[in-house]
Amino acid sequence: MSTIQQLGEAFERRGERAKLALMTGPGVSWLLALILAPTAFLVMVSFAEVNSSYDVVWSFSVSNYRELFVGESGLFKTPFIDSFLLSLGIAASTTVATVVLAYPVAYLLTRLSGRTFKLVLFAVLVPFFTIFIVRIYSWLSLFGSEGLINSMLVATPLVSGPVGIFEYGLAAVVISLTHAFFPYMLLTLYSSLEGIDYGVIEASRDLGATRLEIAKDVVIPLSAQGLITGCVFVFVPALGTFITPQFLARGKFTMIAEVLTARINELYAINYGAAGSLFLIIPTIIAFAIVMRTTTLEAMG
Amino acid sequence: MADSERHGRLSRLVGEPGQTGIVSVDRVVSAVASYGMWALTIGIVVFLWLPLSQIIVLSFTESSVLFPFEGFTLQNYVILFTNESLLLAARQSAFVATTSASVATILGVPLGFAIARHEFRGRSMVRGLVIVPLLMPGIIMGISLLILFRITGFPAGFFGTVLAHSVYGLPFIVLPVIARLAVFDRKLEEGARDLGADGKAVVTDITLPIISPAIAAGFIFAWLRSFEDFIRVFFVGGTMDALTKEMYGMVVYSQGTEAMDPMATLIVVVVASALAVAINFRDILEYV
Repeated sequence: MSTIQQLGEAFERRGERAKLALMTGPGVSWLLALILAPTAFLVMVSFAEVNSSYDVVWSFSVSNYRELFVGESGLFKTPFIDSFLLSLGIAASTTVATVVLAYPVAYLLTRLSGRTFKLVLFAVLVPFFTIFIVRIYSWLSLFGSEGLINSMLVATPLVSGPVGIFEYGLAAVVISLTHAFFPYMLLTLYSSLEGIDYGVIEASRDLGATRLEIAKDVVIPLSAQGLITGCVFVFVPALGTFITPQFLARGKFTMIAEVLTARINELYAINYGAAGSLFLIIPTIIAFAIVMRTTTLEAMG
Repeated sequence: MADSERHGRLSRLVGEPGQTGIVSVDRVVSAVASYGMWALTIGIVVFLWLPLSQIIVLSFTESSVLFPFEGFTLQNYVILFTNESLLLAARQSAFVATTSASVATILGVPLGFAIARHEFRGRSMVRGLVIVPLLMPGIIMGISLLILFRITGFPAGFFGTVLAHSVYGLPFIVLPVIARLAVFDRKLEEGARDLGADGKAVVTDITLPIISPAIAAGFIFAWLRSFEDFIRVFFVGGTMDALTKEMYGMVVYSQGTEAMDPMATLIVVVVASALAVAINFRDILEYV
């Protein structure tokens, strides 16, 4: 190989590398500067202090963490722990509810075609595209002691006064979150169910499997990947939701995002906020690990 | 529905000859499952639509509750369209969303190409990093960016929000581009090259037209996520107004609540009509 040829190839390789740097550089630096760097600062600030003029004073103290976990009446008796556990419970209930509701609908969607398919799809997708705050707000006048549900119930001879479960509170929050996140679950489940070869189901039916056996041994295992992804995409945002309890819990309880926001807004305690939000990152990291293990990027589009 | 399935259903209905009278448990389960699935689906559609349709009705009523009913009016819409600060906030949110989604597109399309088509060091790390904005709870993104801006002295406000929303929107562009390129038939490009097209012509005439629906869908998603975001703009928006901030204030502080129902109704109507067109136009499920 002549020197000139070698030189040419070297230039080409360099050109290739420059092109690649141009393609990835801006996007990657965006991610580094706006995701990775802030997360690193978050960790650092969680050990720092904030002075009276609200500037960060770099130090290493665990007082923010102590504040999270040690309350006046003892260890783990703090508003933070209460809200965190409650938020985990609410997020878990929401996830289970969306799975139970979305599975049959997703399966039905894979069996439909043409006009019916489009109609069902339209009916379930419109609420999905209306903005989140509107979806949550839409439950506001249904719940409450004077809400539509209770005023209709009171009008019947069945109950004497407003029913507790339809007041603002836990049920209102879980139901509205289920309503808001249902389409995420539906779409991920649908795309994994759609990938199942229907021939496998027919074959198992021909071989004598009952419907229940087919569901248990064929459909659910083959769609497990979509199920896991769907759970992650419902659980994580449900855990960190702020607007939902603000609108529908009406002070009956506070979720984790409300505790952190209140501290930062009222006391400018960004160090406390940083320490607290790190505990929200833990479920996120678990979620990330699950998604990376079960899904390929090509399948996530 | 496949013909065999239709045939299967028919034969199950009629039953095998000589088997009349024997109802198998499986056949009952089948029927229950099939009708049950429809019943559940209809129930869920009602569940999804009930709160929204109730708001649409409320936007035309005198009182802010359905009972006691006090008659229909357009007054709420007059209140909405004379609420200058709400309309301004809506325009501001649309502007932020358009800018952020555009930035995300400009950064995301080449990144998606590089990940899908090139081998480079750190590729798998970049692949992982791309989905983080999607999984990171909004409150963490908000607080951590607030801290970053505070430490670096970057001003919160329009530019801060655009930075936050553009990185938030990045996965919605990158992931569809990667997915689209994964099923893309490279032979089309090779063919064009064999027929004498240069690299540039291949990209503009073959590759981009094929992946552009994926980019367009990604843009719409990135736009919507920015437009509907509350918690990030709450932390990094500074004094800049946003539609979601206005709506939040209206509900929590009960100020000018009359405008809430008509605003929500307009959003539902716009979304529903856009979606109706999109569903009839293409197989949109490819892109969600």
